[in-house]
Amino acid sequence: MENIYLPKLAEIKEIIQETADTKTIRLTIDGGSIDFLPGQFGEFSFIGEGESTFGFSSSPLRKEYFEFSFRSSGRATTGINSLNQGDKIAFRGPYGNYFDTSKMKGKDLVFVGGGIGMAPVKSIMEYCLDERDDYGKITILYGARSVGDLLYKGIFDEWKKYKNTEVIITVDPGGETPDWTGKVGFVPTILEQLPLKGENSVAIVCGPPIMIKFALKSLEEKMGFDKSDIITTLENRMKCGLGKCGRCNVGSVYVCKDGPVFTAKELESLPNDF
Amino acid sequence: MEEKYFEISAENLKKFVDSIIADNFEVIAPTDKDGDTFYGKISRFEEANLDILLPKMSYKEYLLPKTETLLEYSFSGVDTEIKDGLEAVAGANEKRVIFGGRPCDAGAGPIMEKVFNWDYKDEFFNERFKNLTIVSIACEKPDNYCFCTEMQLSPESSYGSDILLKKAEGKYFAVVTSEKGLNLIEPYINLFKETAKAQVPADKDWKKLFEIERTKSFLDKNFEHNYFQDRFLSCIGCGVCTYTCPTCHCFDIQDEGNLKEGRRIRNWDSCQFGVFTLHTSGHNPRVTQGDRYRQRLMHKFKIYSEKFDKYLCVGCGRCSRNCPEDIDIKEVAKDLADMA
Ligand SMILES: Cc1cc2nc3c(=O)[nH]c(=O)nc-3n(C[C@H](O)[C@H](O)[C@H](O)COP(=O)(O)OP(=O)(O)OC[C@H]3O[C@@H](n4cnc5c(N)ncnc54)[C@H](O)[C@@H]3O)c2cc1C
Ligand code: SF4
Ligand code: SF4
Ligand code: FES
Repeated sequence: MENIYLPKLAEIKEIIQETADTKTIRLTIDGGSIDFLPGQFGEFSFIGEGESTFGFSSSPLRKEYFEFSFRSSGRATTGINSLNQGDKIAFRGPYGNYFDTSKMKGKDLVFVGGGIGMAPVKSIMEYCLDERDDYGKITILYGARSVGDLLYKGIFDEWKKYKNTEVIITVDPGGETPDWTGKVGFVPTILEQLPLKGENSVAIVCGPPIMIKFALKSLEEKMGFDKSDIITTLENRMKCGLGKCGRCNVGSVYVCKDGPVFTAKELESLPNDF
Repeated sequence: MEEKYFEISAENLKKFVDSIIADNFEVIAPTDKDGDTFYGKISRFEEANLDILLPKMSYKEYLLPKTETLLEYSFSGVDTEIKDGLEAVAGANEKRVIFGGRPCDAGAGPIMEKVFNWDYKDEFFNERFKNLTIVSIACEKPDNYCFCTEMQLSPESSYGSDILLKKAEGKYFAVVTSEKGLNLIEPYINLFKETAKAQVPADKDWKKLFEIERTKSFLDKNFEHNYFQDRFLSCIGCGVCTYTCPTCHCFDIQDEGNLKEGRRIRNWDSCQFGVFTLHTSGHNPRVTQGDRYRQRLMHKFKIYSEKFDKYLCVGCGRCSRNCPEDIDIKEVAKDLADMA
């Protein structure tokens, strides 16, 4: 008899303080990563403070660890925030569907991330970079409210090293510092300025709902992306991740089971319940 | 198993119940407490209240306890010890009998069972459900809140019962539908007299007020409709409808304990609470009580039936009987059917 709610203990291998309130935590189970696919999520906890739902932020092809990035916001996340290297995190997963790379192979890819929404984008993006030859041109657009709110600052240069790969980092107007050399402007505004075309391309967009709304509009209406070539994730509140607790549904769709990855076309057919 | 039919006198039924109690069965029956009637453990047949139509609460808590321990934890130094909560549940209910419940409550178990077993298997539920033996009594006089007939059951339905008792002329007929039911009466079989199906009084011709399929077809087409916002303006979001419901199964998971030890529990939760779907960002997909009661209706009459067969409602009427704002789900379902 298996207890589907029973977590495994993972060891914290490394903690990266990304911003004042976000961290990336690298974990190992039995000395390495676990089997998962980009876009999937897990339930993570400092036992005693409750579980939290996070997407994976690392490429599953990097086998030394698996990783998530989180913002401290409530009880469970404050608990995780207090942990140190070598401490244990309880983990169960992976759950949910994933970004289907078979539909992305051979195409130009556009990755658009806003704020903490960059975490799941990073996973699929690095997965594609790890198999760089399988894809056409790769454009990465990542924005945050201010320079201080940008995650992954230490690895932007690493992304830029790949061939035929453009990395554009932007901050909201007013969020720049005097020495800021990246773009200034909201993600959808900067997106519109890029010379992107919908044909033979796939766009992956994650971030706050308002950003997603405008980015989807630009991609569809201005750049001619087909709705089924625009892929995003929903982040409905979850508890079980197993299709039981009844919390995450949008109409008849259970985000924890049928999602969290959806195409813009699929979202269109859902009721306004997210 | 093919159904079997027995006759049993009122006197022998009392003997049967007292005998199984004497033989260490835990018998849960409608019983009076604090001026109301609830399902609870009885120690003699007389403690069962078989006249009440429905106890205040269903016996959902014997399948899905209000609070269930999923795991226990303790810390010693840097080590975390986790104890599987399932160990304590293994073999639960093995000698537990629900006696004198109604067909609607019996119908709820198999309906919930589907939720707990599509894809991932929830063995907490399964372990409790598979061992419970259910002996129900057919209803003679449903009240105005009841609508089991509309919900594909009936006041005399044996669906979900291991044994259904039907009262007739001072005695009872027992319709035994499962091995579990047969095993329960086997040791006391001299109290029963086997009979033919033809001897069991036929079910009455229970009339339906509306067709639930029409309620569904309204919901299929109308997510945005003023009806939801207008009709549920008076709803205060107390969640009583979901707590008293035998099929509502949504739950929350929380940790409770101190710095040394504690447990991870799941608790009944309610889609009628605003925080149920509140995102960390402050965004909430369901803002009004109209949005939330619509979710309740959608889940019961559309979403569940698309995934599985049947509906996530047995028509017991508890949510209506207990609602402080007198929101009657039968009336609502009928309104929707009329508008379809
Ligand atoms: C599929 C998916 C993927 C996700 N991926 C990520 C990710 O990669 N990174 C990330 O950072 N987040 C992610 N999230 C969001 C993340 O799950 C939540 O931010 C996190 O669970 C919050 O946990 P918490 O227990 O610390 O917060 P909680 O304690 O639940 O509190 C969160 C906020 O809600 C408020 N709140 C809580 N309870 C109440 C109440 N009863 N009444 C009023 N307000 C209340 C708190 O004050 C706080 O501001 C994801 C979510 C989903 C569904
Ligand atoms: S019992 Fe009535 S008032 Fe309370 S949440 Fe349910 S419908 Fe609303
Ligand atoms: S929704 Fe109401 S009538 Fe239907 S099973 Fe639940 S409590 Fe009974
Ligand atoms: S998170 Fe529990 S049903 Fe989806």
